[in-house]
Amino acid sequence: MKELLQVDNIKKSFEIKKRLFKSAIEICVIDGVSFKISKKQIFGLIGESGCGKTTIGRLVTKLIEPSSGKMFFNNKNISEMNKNETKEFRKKIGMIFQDPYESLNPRFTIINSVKEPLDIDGRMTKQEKFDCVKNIFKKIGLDTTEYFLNKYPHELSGGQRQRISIARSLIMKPKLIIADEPCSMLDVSIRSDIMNIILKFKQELEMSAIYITHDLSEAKYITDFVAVMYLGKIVETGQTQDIIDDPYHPYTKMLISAIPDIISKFKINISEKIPDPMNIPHGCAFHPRCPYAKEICKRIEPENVNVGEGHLVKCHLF
Amino acid sequence: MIHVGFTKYITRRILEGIISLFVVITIIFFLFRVMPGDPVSMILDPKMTPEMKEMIRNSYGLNEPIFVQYGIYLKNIITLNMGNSFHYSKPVFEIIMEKLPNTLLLFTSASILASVLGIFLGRIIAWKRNSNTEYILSVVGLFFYNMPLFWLGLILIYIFSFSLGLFPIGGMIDYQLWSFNPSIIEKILDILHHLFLPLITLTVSSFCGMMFLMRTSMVETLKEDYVIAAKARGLPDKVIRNKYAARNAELPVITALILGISGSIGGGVLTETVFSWPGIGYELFRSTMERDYPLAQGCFFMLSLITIVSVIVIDVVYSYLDPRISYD
Amino acid sequence: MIKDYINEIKEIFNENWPRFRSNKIGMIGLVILIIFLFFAMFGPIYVKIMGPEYLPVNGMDLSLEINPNTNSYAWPPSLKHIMGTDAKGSDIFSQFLNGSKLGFIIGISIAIGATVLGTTFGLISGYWGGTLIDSCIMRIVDIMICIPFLPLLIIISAVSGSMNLITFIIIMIMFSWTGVCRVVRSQTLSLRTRLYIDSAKATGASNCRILFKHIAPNVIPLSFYEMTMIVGAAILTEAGLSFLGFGDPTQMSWGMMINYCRAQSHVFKSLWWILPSGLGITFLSMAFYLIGRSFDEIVNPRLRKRK
Repeated sequence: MKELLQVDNIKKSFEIKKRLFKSAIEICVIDGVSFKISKKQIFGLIGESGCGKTTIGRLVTKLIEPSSGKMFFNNKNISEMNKNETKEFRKKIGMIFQDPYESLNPRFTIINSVKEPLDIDGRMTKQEKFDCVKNIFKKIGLDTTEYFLNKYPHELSGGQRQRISIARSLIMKPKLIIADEPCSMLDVSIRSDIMNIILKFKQELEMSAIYITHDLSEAKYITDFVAVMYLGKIVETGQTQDIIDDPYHPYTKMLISAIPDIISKFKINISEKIPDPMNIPHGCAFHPRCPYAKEICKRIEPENVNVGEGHLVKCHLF
Repeated sequence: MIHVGFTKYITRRILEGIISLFVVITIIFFLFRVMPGDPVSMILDPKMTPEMKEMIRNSYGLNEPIFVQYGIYLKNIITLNMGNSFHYSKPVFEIIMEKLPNTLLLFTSASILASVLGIFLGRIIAWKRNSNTEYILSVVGLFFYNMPLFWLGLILIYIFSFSLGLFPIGGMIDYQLWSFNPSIIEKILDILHHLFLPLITLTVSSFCGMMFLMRTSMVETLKEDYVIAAKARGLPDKVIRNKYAARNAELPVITALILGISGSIGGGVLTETVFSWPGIGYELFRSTMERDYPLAQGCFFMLSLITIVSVIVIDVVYSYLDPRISYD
Repeated sequence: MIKDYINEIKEIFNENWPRFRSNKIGMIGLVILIIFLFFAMFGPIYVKIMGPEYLPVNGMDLSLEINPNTNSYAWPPSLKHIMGTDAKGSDIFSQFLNGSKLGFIIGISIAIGATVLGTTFGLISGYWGGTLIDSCIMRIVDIMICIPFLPLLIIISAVSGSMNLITFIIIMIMFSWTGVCRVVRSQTLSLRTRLYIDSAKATGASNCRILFKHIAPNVIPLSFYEMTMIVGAAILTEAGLSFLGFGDPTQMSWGMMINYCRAQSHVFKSLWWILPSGLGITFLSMAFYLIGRSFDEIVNPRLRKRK
């Protein structure tokens, strides 16, 4: 396999602890997700809150383990990695989180936060680490003075903090980064800066990325491939341009038509019902909201249908 | 509003309580058997004849291996046979049952009074920060919180009993008075009269801790958004303070209460000793001094039982009150 | 790794010292503490200066006559004996100084022991919360808080004759760590779900590293606070035990002083004997409490800055 990352039919369920009334409930957050990422590819994951995209990010970085299914990184099964292999694995991936305020330890100065991966690796001298940090800061566009490096996160703005998080995830020159909605808590004006940084490093480091977002316009800007998720399943996947120009799945069409500034060719009425991961509908999970729903949609889950070059849709309409 | 989860929780806590009791029993057992010296003297009254001693030896299985002794010991405890007190020459169990109401009277009234006062005053201080009331109450509270409770008792006796003659120096009842067979009301008044100083001592010692805790937790609660929202809606101050903030602030106080019960029992023992209040604590002290081992064991057992029961009761009440916790 | 730990503590200290200085409560506590520290250290010097009759435990002033008011050798404060004498003619002031020294030794040793133990177990229990080891530790804690420790101490002294100071310290440590453990555990539980911990995990940090570098620094200020509270409790418990007569008879602690006073029935006869010890206990315990309270105001995580 030449793929950098291959995810095969991953499933993940969580158990909710007993509360006053209910006994333990199992919620299936990811229900059979598969995709592939090659080198120098940015792969987008789009969906509403609660569809499971953050969980995918955590599964890939081995922060949580899947209930079933396999994930392969450079042909190695991620779940079966031992301690040493995991350590090596972690050096090759990086993660950028959504919340720039919480993802940095408030007691660490910036330089301590950013050089932590180097500390864990343990091979560089103090001076080398210092230079490395300064280097990457320069590329990202952050101040490299001693004064700045010794600041604390709460003294900086959200945009700066997110850049620092990016710096930390990139300092080990990873082959794959997982960006979990990196821009959703930032001002609109800063978003393109952050995305440009990721694109720049994609070129320089020949890096791939999983870019998780709920914003289609971000996906359009940065991703090569995109997968649309709904309630734990990928309902449509393909090249970004294809999907945006020619969406097949009703849900994708709904997402595109919901963007206020694009004069959409596909105006669809959006039904009111909010997806609830605790109550996943039978058959096709989208059928309660789907304006084209048929009888078969309520009973049988649709399979992947190939409608173009690498363009797959899970829908009974095709 | 009792749900399955809740009942399970109570059961679990009770089970833990029983285990604690077991641990206590085992500690007592090993202490008195494994310690240096003739274990026999622990049970045998020095006044006994050699034949009686031999009989008791056998009934306690002192000539048997230690596991058998433990079994016999457990059986005895379950059948409430705790031996006879050397001093009183009566079954230990009887003595404990006699003295138990006295201790409970003192302990529960002090606990309730301390909690009520503590929560009430703590609320006020938290609300009126940086005022004179807060300052005075804090300083006073600070003093009494760190004051050794037995010393406080002695000073109180000195001032109110010795110098001013307002209250009796100790004891629970006036034997002379009772020998005249007075009415129930007079009896109660007499007990209350004797109860006053020990109650004050024990209460004052405990309420300060609660007051400060309540203040701290109120201050945190007052910063919460829902309180600000209540203020914005125009609710009167008193309502916000009592119904919104205080209710939630009380919860950590109750937690602290649980952790502090073990200390309160110790306080009770000291108070009873200072005032010669005829409760279990006082008996523990006396019996230990006089090497009346069966009674000492029995008292310790009873005090542990009181502690365990109190902890469980408060824990369960707390879980019931706080809707946020889960019963796993 | 230990060097890192010490550096952390030094950093926290330096960070907070200026804040501490401006805090009135803390400074008052510190001043009282220093005064008592002076008392503690002055004790042996005083005895050296004044002579062996001033020894706290066994010294007796043989030149004294019987005081007709008290029917013993107890005299009110005078030039020769600043705080007066007790029933057998010992100088109360040197007893007071000795009590101060004992208070420090007992209080601080128990506090440090209990805090170290409690923090370690609390961190372990909290970090691996929900697993077997957490349950084990918590069950042990739950069981221990149900055992009343003063009665236990009494029973132990009953059996072994009298309570050696070291035994007392060890038993107190064994009972005091539970409070710290619970508090540290709940703090750890809430900290381990923070995003930056996930962040650290994703960069490959080992559990050990996360515990020591990320979580512990946030927990240490809390431990310090608990430690100050334990000092007071320890001093008070020792006083209580000595008062009942089960303390270490070779040491004249403040509690012992009160015990002897009562045993000799001098409580109402010689106010000068009963007052200094009680006040000593109160103020020393108060000093630690004030310092702890000021810690609480400075480093409590609820002082989170709003974004």
